[in-house]
Parts: sequence; structure tokens; C-alpha cells
Amino acid sequence: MGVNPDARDLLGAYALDALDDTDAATVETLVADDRDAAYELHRLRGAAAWIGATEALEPPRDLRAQLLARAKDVPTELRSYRMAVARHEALLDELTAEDLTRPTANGLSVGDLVVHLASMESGIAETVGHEQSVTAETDVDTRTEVYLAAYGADPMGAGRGSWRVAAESLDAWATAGGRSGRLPWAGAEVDRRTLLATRSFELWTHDDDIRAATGRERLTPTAPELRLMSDIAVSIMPFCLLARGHKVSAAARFVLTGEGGGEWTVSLDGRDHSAPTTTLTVDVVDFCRLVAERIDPDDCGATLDGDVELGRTLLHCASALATL
Amino acid sequence: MSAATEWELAVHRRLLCGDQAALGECYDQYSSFVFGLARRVIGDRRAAEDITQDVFLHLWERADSFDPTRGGMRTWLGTIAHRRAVDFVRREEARRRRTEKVGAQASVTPDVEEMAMAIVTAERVREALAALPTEQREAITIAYFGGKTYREVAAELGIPEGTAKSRMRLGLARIADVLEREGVGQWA
Repeated sequence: MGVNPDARDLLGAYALDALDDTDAATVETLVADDRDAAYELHRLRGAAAWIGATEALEPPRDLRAQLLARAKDVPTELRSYRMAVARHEALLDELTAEDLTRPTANGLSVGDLVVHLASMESGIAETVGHEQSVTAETDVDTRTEVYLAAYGADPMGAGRGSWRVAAESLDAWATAGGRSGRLPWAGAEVDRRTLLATRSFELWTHDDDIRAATGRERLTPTAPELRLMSDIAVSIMPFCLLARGHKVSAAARFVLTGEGGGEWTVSLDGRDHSAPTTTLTVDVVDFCRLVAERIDPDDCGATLDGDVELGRTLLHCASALATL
Repeated sequence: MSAATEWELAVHRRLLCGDQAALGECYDQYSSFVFGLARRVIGDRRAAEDITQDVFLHLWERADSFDPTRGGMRTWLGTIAHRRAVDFVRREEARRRRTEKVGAQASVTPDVEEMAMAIVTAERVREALAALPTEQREAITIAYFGGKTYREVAAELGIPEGTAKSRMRLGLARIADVLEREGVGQWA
């Protein structure tokens, strides 16, 4: 796509917010593709902000208290989801055309993975009111295939756009106080916390897939995000056992180490048990990667105490509900 | 390469964790900048207070959208504050035109309560602004503090539109050069 040759001349005016919407869109197209222009705009915006600083003026004293009274708590799951979305956007911004062709851990190319995320995000968002645009299919593999047929040729345009509007829908629903939605592929109704946590989990997992495939360093989520993800991951362990055909009448203790970790004792059959029969101690990030099927159970560095066999079964079933 | 300061990185992490005290600290650090800028552009104290609150609420609710690797918090807050102030001015202007009310537009007069900026950088920017060729300074200040588009600036100054946008770009680049020499690389 050609760029308006005069677009660069508009950078100063853009930094000063002195453009109409049409001209502003021209500059945004330019800086999306041209790193030199983006750098120049960044520089000019910094200068503009400092011009604003020359006009500093103390606000009225009571404004601070008014602000803090209006600053309501944002639920952890919504903060976590927004962070995951922002990181995903930032990662996609960095990708080159060559990056998109690289194969990832789950067999899809990076470009196809971007489209897969659009299929998943929209699938969840559609359960809370997002308009269905491509398919009503709920099976993960089939849904992804349909999305690839629709957007596979343009993952960073139409594919990313589809993902973004679905993510915005989910955010708007959660911001408005939405309480529950569905995991369509599992056929399960879940609360907002679980719904958003599963999205954060998958975005983080696939972003790491993309990073690994394109030679970028993996990222560790913040402690509150890890805490949320590990809490969800531990809570689904009974269902993971069932999914692999294990019926166990016992409780297990999970000690997830590192920032964002914690300790949980989980009944594996829903009944009360006086004490856990097995204890698994593992790094919280490794545990999350294990649940996402990105680490082999034998390589996750877990320490098992008590009923070692049950502990090993749990490790081997931990990824039973992972999708792609 | 990060343009955000250590303090900004730390306070940003706390904002992401929902630490309200971190919001208060950001407010203490940048509220006079945000409020002064909004007041200067809008010329109305009450509206500037509203915009100041909105900007810091945005920081609180959408701390994820501030990326410390892409620039400092001052630039980020300033960009949001300025855009909102300009939108306000343009909305008011459109409303004024719709109602065909005759009368002078709210003048953007310097505020008598304006506090002298204690930090050296702001003084350097003032000097840099003053040292710009008059035509560049005019174009920048009319656009930035007056909330005008470059086309309106061109019309106001009686110059071609291409000249107006060149003056803005060149003038800002000169100020960026000065800031860089001072070691204030918000865009590093």
C-alpha cells in the first residue's frame, strides 16, 4: 500500500493535535509501517508534552481527594486481561512479514496463530453478546479452520481486526459489570473471573509461542496475573483428572513457588478430606506452562511428597483441558 | 532502551496491581502539568479540572495502555490531556457555531495564578520556544495552546497550509534537539 508522500510533513501537526480526522488517519497509516516516521513522531510528541509543561499550574486542593474517591477498584481479572491484550497488541506490532511464516509449537504458523486467537476471543465474546460474524462452530479445531479460511490470507489486517473487536467487546462487557459467560468448547458456564482468566492464560501462552518461534525472549506475567492464572489452573485439576478417566477420592496440596504463587489444598472428588494425600511443589510459571501443555510433566521440576504416584498422575493430567 | 524513569517503572507496576496510593503519587507528580496544560488550552478552570480528573482516571483504569518502553509518563499523560482539551475546545466551538451565538471566543489568557515551574527542563523549553524563529513559535503556540488545526493556523496567519505544517515540524524538532542536548530524552 502506498503512503501519501506528504504524510511525513504532517508529523509536527499531528504531535500538536492539529490535524482533522482524515489527516490524522494518514499519519497513523504512515507510522504503522515506517519506523523512522514513528521515531520522529515520538520525538516530536515528547517536545510537545514539554511545551505543555511550561504552563504547569497547581490544581485546586480538593481535586486530589475527588479523584481518589472516583478511582474505583478495577477487578483483578479485568486488569489482567487488559494487560494481556496490551502485550499481545505490542507483540503483533513488532512482527515482520517473515515472522508470520514461522512455525509455532502447536503446528500453526505465527500468522495462523494470530487468526486462531481471533476465533477463540470471538467464541468467548459471542457468549456475552458480541455479534457473531464468521461461524457458530464451537469445536476449537473446526472453528479455527473456518477462521483461517476467512482470514488466513490477511492475519494482521482482517484477522487481527477480528480479534481486537472481540477483545473490546469482552472488555466492555466486563467493565459494565457482566457476571458470567460460557466456555463454548467446554460447554461450561463460568463466572467473569474464570472467563477472563482463561483468555489471559491463552493470550500469554500463544504470545510465548510467537516469541519462541521468532527468536524473542519469553515474558513472565506480573505477580497478580500469575496468582489469578494459577488459582484457576489449580481449581480445574479435578476436571483434568476426570477428563483423563481418573476417579480419585483424595485431596492434593499444591505449593506454587515464586511471585504470584501460593498454596492450595484441592479436593479431587468434591468431598471433604481431613488432609491432603499428596503435595506438589513447583514453580508457579512452570506450573502454568504445564497446564498450557508447554512443558513436559517430567521436565517441570516438581517435587512430590506423600502419595507420589497420585502426584505424578496429577502432573500428567494437568494439561488435559488445554486447547491448542 | 527505556525512556521511563525508575520511579515511573515502579509506580506503573503498582498501578497495574491496583494500588490506589500509586495513583495519588502520580497525581502529586504530574497534576500541575496536566491541569496547567488543560487550563491553558481551554481557558476554563472548571473544564480543566474535569479533564485533569479524567486523565488520571484513565491512568488508573487503563494503566495497561501506558507502555514504559515507548516513552515517559509525562509524554503519555500530556498527549492524552492535550487531546482531550483540544477536543473540548473544538466541541465548544462547534456548539457555538451551531447556536450562532455572536461574541468573542473564550480568550485563552495567561493565568495569573500560574506557578513558576521549579524544574529546570521546563525553563529550558521556555527558552527553546522563545529562541525559535517567530514564525515557527507562532505556528506551534496557536496550534497547541489554541487547539487549532494546521489549516486554521495557516488561515489565521495568512500563510500556505504547507508552510504551516513545515513550521510546526521544524520548530518541534528544534525543541526536541534542545531537550536531547539537555539529556531529557523522553523519546529515547
